[in-house]
Amino acid sequence: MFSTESTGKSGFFTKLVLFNEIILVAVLVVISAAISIGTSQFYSSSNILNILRDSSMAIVAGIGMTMLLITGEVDLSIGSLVAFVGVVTMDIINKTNSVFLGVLAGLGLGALTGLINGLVRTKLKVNSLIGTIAMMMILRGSVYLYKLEAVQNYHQLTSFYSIGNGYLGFMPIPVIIMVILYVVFLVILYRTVLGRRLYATGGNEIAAKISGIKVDNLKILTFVANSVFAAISGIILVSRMNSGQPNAGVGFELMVISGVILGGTSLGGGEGTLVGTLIGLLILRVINNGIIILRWNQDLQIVISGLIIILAVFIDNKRKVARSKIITT
Amino acid sequence: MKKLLWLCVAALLVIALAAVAFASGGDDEEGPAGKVPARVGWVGNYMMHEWYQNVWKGMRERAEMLDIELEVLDANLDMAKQVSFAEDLIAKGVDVLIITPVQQEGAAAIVKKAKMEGIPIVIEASAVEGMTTMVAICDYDCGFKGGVATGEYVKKNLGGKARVMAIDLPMLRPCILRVDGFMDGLRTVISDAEIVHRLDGQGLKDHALQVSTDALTADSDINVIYGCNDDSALGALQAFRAAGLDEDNLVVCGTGGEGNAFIHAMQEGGPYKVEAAMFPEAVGYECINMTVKLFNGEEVPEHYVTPTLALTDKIWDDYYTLEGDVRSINWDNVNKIPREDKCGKY
Repeated sequence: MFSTESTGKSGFFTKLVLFNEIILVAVLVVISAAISIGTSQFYSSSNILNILRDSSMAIVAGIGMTMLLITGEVDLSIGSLVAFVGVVTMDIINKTNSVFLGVLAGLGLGALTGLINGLVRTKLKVNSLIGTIAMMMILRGSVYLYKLEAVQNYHQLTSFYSIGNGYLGFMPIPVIIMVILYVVFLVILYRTVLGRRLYATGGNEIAAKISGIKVDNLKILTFVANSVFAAISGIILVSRMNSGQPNAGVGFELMVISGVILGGTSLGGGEGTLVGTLIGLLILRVINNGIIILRWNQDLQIVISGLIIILAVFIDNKRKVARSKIITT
Repeated sequence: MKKLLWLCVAALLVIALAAVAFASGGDDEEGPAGKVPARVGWVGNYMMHEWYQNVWKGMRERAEMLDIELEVLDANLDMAKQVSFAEDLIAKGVDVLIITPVQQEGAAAIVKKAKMEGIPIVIEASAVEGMTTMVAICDYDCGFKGGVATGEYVKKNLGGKARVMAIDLPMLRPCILRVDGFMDGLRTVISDAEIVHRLDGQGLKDHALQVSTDALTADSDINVIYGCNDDSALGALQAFRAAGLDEDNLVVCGTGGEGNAFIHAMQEGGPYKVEAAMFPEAVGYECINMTVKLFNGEEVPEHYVTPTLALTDKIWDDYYTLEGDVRSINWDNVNKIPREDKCGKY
């Protein structure tokens, strides 16, 4: 599960950088403890559940993004996709009075977007950063062509509202959705041939091709999966907001990518863990939550997020250097 | 043969007279008060937003009433594009220009250029250096009216104590003015009204939902939600609901009335009881009226204030009707709303 392969001599700091998840857990614990000292509401059950529920959308999207980054690709269109999926889902539910059809439409839009992103990357050979920035613009413009204003929930169907706001026992339903998806894909990533192929493709694409992996098909599949995960996040969000908002999801992709990279997934591909993603995204959410409940200046959320992005990429670079030292000694 | 010739001449004369009778008569039309411009150009700053869709609607309706050709271009938050579009419209020979500035400083160049070309210019929304006139709401006064109406509701229905969660957008001065105005208005009715949370929701429903959720964890003892726009208010309301708090002890006031969301919220019969309405259609309507005044060389105020009003769930349908997704404004009632001569605060 850990992303290390200690095969030779390495310094203490090097080992520490490589045992990424341990550091992240320690950081999360320290931040949480610090906030708890400032306010007792932080560790109240309602706040913990609030953090988990709110993080669930980002963590679901983070599962897809982790797998995509492991293959060496990236997707900046998920924020816009979240908005478009929300609007389409709500609109179809209004027109058909069917939550099932609305959700299906949203997931279908996600899959289609991922397929297009994958084809643009593999067939048109457009770099995924550029290709998905273009898709981000297309989606953001298209949602306004589709609907100029927010789509309200006309039927007020309880089953729809429950997706984002309901509970099973004491646990919010978005958290349950997140846990199920997380566990399934944890197994897929670490215990299946598919998972190993993802790492192989990201680690060395040429070697992966030579060894018989159909790299293009794998990447298309990963793009589709990533967009479907983003669509699930969009469906949870539209249920929480009780309306489809064309302007939703602004900055969502940056937040997800920051958390995934902070969690140890490399921008260069070939490395990353879902455990790290989970902790990385929780760290970001806890910081944002803490700033509000401590009643600090909210602008700090933006400043700290920026600093974390720099820190995450720095650690990623250090990790690459540390790993290459281990391999060559 | 001669008879046939005279018949033809008579027929031709009749046709010519008919043509003169129905002819448009050249470039200028006689309007309700003097001439009206034949062509008006508007360069908006962000037409995708539903506020501006409704401003456009109001402009279109008034332009159609006066038989003015209206050309609309969207700068989409790009200042360079706005300057370029404005120059295009000037080159095309529009009679009057309307600009909703992307940036006030950048728009000053457009004002200068238009003046050099002798084209009158109406500024919509935010003041620009060198402008002749601006058509805009008063954000402070609009918030103030919402605060007074909310205070009256709280006094009558919620025990007379007001603890407020305000969702703001601090990077925009108009939004700060709305929240300040709201609290000042609220305090004219409930002098000890307290802001428990003043949050940055970025004007977006999903951000408002998230920050409100966190804030309610810190202190959920609030009974008034105010949003600097409708999305902010509705996002905060969703957070309140998701926290399982008592809606019977809550009143929500939104601002703007930019889309249909506030009408749906009021129709629900829940805590959304007050809308500090800004009537975007009226903004557009008055922009066209102002183009006529400028075209006729009339004296105009530096800031023409468009109407704002606190709509409650009892009276909103005096000003709007909603059929399906389409809302229509009641011009007769909106045009009767008293307007300020200038804003209480800028």
